[in-house]
Parts: sequence; C-alpha cells; structure tokens
Amino acid sequence: MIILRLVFLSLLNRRTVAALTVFAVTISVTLFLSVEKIRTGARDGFANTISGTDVIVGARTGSLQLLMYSVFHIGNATNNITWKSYQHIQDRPETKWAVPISLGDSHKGFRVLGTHTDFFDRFRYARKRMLTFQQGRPFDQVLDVVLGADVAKTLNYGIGDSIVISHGLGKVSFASHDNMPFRVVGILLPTGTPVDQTLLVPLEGIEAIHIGWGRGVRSGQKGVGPQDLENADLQPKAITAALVGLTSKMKVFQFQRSVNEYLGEPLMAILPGVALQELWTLMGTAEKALVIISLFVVVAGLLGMLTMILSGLNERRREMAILRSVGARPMHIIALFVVEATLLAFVGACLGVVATIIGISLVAPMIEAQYGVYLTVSPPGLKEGLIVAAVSASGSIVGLWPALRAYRLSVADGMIVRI
Amino acid sequence: MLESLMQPNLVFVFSSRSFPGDVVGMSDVQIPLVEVSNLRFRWLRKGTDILSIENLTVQKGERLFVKGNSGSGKTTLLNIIAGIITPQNGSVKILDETISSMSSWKRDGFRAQHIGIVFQIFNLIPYLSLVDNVILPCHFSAPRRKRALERSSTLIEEASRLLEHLGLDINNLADQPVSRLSVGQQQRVAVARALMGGPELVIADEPTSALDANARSAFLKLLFREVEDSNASLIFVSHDASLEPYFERSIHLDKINHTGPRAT
Repeated sequence: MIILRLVFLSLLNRRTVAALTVFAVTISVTLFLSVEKIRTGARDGFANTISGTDVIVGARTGSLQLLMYSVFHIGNATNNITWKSYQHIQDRPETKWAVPISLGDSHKGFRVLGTHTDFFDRFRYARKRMLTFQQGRPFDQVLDVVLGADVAKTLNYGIGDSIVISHGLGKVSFASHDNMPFRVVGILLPTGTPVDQTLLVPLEGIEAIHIGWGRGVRSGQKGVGPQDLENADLQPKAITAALVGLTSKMKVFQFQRSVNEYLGEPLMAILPGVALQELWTLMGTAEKALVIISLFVVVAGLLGMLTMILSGLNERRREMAILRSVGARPMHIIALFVVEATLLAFVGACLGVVATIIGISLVAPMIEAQYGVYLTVSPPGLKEGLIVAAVSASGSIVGLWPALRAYRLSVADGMIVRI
Repeated sequence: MLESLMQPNLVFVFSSRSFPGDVVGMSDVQIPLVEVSNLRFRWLRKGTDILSIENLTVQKGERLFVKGNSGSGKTTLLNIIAGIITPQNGSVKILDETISSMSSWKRDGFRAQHIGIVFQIFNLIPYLSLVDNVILPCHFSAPRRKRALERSSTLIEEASRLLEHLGLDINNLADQPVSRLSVGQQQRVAVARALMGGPELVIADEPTSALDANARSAFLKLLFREVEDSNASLIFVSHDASLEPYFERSIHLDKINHTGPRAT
C-alpha cells in the first residue's frame, strides 16, 4: 500500500519528532499499566497477607478495624480479650486451632507480636506459603525473639544479638523494658506481609517484660530482671486477638454467631475475606482516582501526539498538494494522517507494554522490600492487548482531526500552495 | 451591471502550427483536447467574478502559453482545468468529458489518469527517492500504471528511462535525497513525473521562475521534447513574457478574462 509506505517514509524523515511522540505515548501507557500492576499487586498483597485463617476473634469493634490491627498492624486495638475467652474459643467444637496474638509493644518502630510457637505452623501467606527461617529457629525460651526479614535487615541484627523492647508503639519511646533484654534466635525469610516488619516473641515474654508494671508505667518494684522469671506467673491474662482455623469451612457462620453471642465479654469474629472486601469498597474510590489520573496521562500522551501532527501540518501542505496533483484523493490524505496517528499510538502502546514488563521486573524486588507489595512479572495478556487496542483506536480518532484539517487545507490550497 | 460592460468576444487566431517542424507526425486535423466555455468563477457566492472566460480551447498536441500578471487568476484557471475546483457557471471539457460536472471522486480519478502537473518550485516529496517521486502517479492511477508498463517492463525502468531522457544521471543521483538536487534538476524530475504513464495533458505553473536564463531555455527545450515525444498537450502559465516566443500559441489571460473593473 502506497499510503503505508508514504506514512512510514514520512515518519522516518521526521524521526526525531516522531520518536519523541512515540516516547510520550510510551511513558503514559507505561504509567497506566504500572499503576494497574501496583494496584492489583497491592490488592493481591493484602489478600495474600492472611490465608489459611478462617476467622479472627477480637474485642468488639469495627470488623475492618479488627482486621487492620490484628493482621496488618495498622492502628491500635481498642480492647483486649481475656485469656478465659480465648480458652473458650479454643474449646469450641468447631475450632481446629486458635493462635493468640498480643500486640502493644515495639522495638525501634517495629511492632512486637507476642504469640505461640503454633504461629509458625499456622500462619499462611500468599495462598499456602508458610513462614520459613532464613537463619535460626522458632523461639522456645521466654526471652527469645524471632525477627521479620526487614527488621533484621534494617537494624542489622544477627542471631544472638540482644534486644530491648520498648513499651508502647512510638518510634522513640521513653519507657523501655531494658530490664528484660531478648535474644535473637531466628530470622525469617521475606514474606511480603507485615510479618517482615515484626518481632515475634512468646506470649510469656510479653508477660515477663511487664512484670512490675501497671497502668502503662513502671510501678515501685525495682530490680526485676530475668532472674525473677522462674518463679513468676507468666500466664497471660489478656491477648489482643486470636487467629482461628476451623474444622470445616461450612461451620464458619455457626462459629461466628456463637462468638458474637458469647456472654463472658463483648467479642467479635470476623471473616478475613469479608473484611477485606469491605476494605476494597473503601479503597475503591482512591483506586478509581488513581486509575482515572493515569488514564488522563494517557490522554495527555495522545494530545502530545495531536499537537505534534497539527504543528507539522503547515509544513506538509506542499506535500499534500503534490500528492493531490499526482492523483491522491481526499480520502488518501485523510488516511495518511489517520494511519500515521494510529501507527504512532500503536508503537507507543506496544513499547509501553514492553517498558512496563522491563520496569516492573527491575523495581519489583525494591518495591517488595520497601512496601511488601509483590509484583508478579507476567507476559502480556488480554489486558495489555486491550490497552494497545484502545490506545491505537484513540490514536485513530485523534488522527482524524489533523486529517480533516489537512483535507480542508488541501482543498483550499488546490494544487498551488503559497507559503 | 458588469455584464453590460463586457467587451465583445475576442476572436482568437489558432496558430497552433506556427512552428513548423516542431510537431512531427501529427495529423493536420485539429482535435480539441481542452474546451472551456462560458466559464464563470468566483470564490464567494456573492463575490465578484475572478474568471469569466467565454471560450478557451487547447488542441491535442498543442503547446499553449498563458500569460498573466500575478493576481490575474492564472492559478485559479489551472485549478479549474485540473478539476481541483469547479466553476459556478460554464463547462470544462477534457477529452470530450465534461469534468466540471463530474463528481469530485470521478474528477480526482480523471486528473490522476490524464493530467500531469509541474509546479513552480518544491515539486518533489522530500522523503521519497528520485525514482519513487517519478513513480508516484502510478500508485494513484491504474491506467497510468498500465501505460507506463506498456513502455517498460517495470515502473522503475520506465522512471529511469524518463529521467535519463531528461538528462539526469540516475546512477549518481539516485542515492541522494531529492532535496540535494539543484532546482533545475528538481524541475526535470517533476517533468518526468508529470509525463510518467503518458497523460494527455501537462499543466505547468511557472516551472521556470526559479531558474536562471540559461537553465530556463535548456529546461524548456527538454520539456517540449518530452511533451512532444509522449504526444501530450502543454498548458504553460507564466507572467514572464520573454518565454512567449518559444510557444506556438500564446494567450493573455487579461484579454480573454472579462471580469469587470478588477483588472486595472
């Protein structure tokens, strides 16, 4: 086809501007696809953080709030649940297992999670994956601590190091449990979940560091230290929440109702999946805004192309006149511009898809380490195909404007252009 | 009224054979190729006429010089003959077909097939090669392609033949961008393109205005020879009266254009 050849050679002749135009489209498509990728990555990340747990039980509060503080370590527990309640849950016939978790202390800004050794067996992320040790082993002494991958990396801790836990959650804490230092016995591999930013200690350890404390401050008792642990009663009296696995998924609602109706204290049982759904509806607006913004960037890329073609129009009037004189019909002139715009948009979009794949595979490890969002690099699929098609189609539509202008100019100019 | 001021029709003497020997092998019977009659054209519906021509005929094989000052409507006339614009009144017949009443689609096709055009300057598409520029009309007109292929086995061969005929050494020039060619060379390429596929009519709009005197007469000689070889008619428009003697017939646009008081 002569039109394709003319478009190709003409673009080659204007290669710098054409390349910049393609680049603009590429950038915008890359941005759009990256936002999409990160968005779904974050979504999957959230969804993958907790799996294998059927129900989370905590003090009565908003279901989203319970999910956020117990699993994502965002925000604080409004209330604890008593050990008695926990035992009640554990004893229910539907319960297969129940892992207590206790939050509220921290170490240099990282949260400390008190739990059972069961946690290492029961906790699952990214569908079926288990926690794995990079070094060491689970805790078995009261003052043992297992570090999440990020904690160890950021604070540069190794096995055998001694750690002092601070009271409360502030990065800078004035009350520290310096009388009860913990010893690092294990470091976990990265999981891409909040566990990476967590220090895991036995529930008894949490009790231990609070010996001699009351109402959030150190009380009169002085000189309490590890030597006192043997005789101390380390049985926890309260926990923050419990992760529960049921004998059968069919019993979820039955179990949930029984927990919600528990008379001992106000409890609440939530289904992580349902609570996450609630989270999506909340985040949906922000996500939509993000998608709309990146869509507008694509529009801006196409507008850049329009500007380039329109601004080149005047210089090409003579070209059009020559083509008309050798027999090109108005249709040919229109096709010339529409094909050009479509081609630029198509190439830009394809490069955008490629750039996204390369970019994601380059930054994925960094994003994973920094934000715990797993980005999977996958070959271009239906979504990418649709994007390329949509951008090319928009390119054609955008190209119609200069095409019609060129057509009108060529009709007005006739064969003789005076510039 | 303008009409009442119009002068009586001027009678044109068709002295198309005034250069004996120039036209070889033509029959003495004159066959009109282009017939313009009662043409009226204005840009705006209610504006004044730019062109008002009672009669203008170009014979087959004739070389016509149309002289006119700038602004006299030369270009408009060429646009009308080429079928780019249509007059409000009157008719334009080429090869016995009334192009002024054709659909624009048909006119485009007609122009592609029967008319070759040479502009004043910048005749070539800068991003196409020398040969591609010459072949261009064959991409838009199947009959011209066919005729070109009747003469040579490939379009490239036919283009090369024409270019060589016009004194262009394609072996040396083919590889460089057409914008590097001298103006004279570019104009010769334009002639080769206008003649590619043997159209019956060649229209040239001041093709020599960018050439110096020597190049001008050399160019005209080549142009005439080629037009003659392909049995085409030539309408050559210029404001330069010094070119007039080269042509077998010349007309002054101001004299056949009866548009009221605008020509002063």
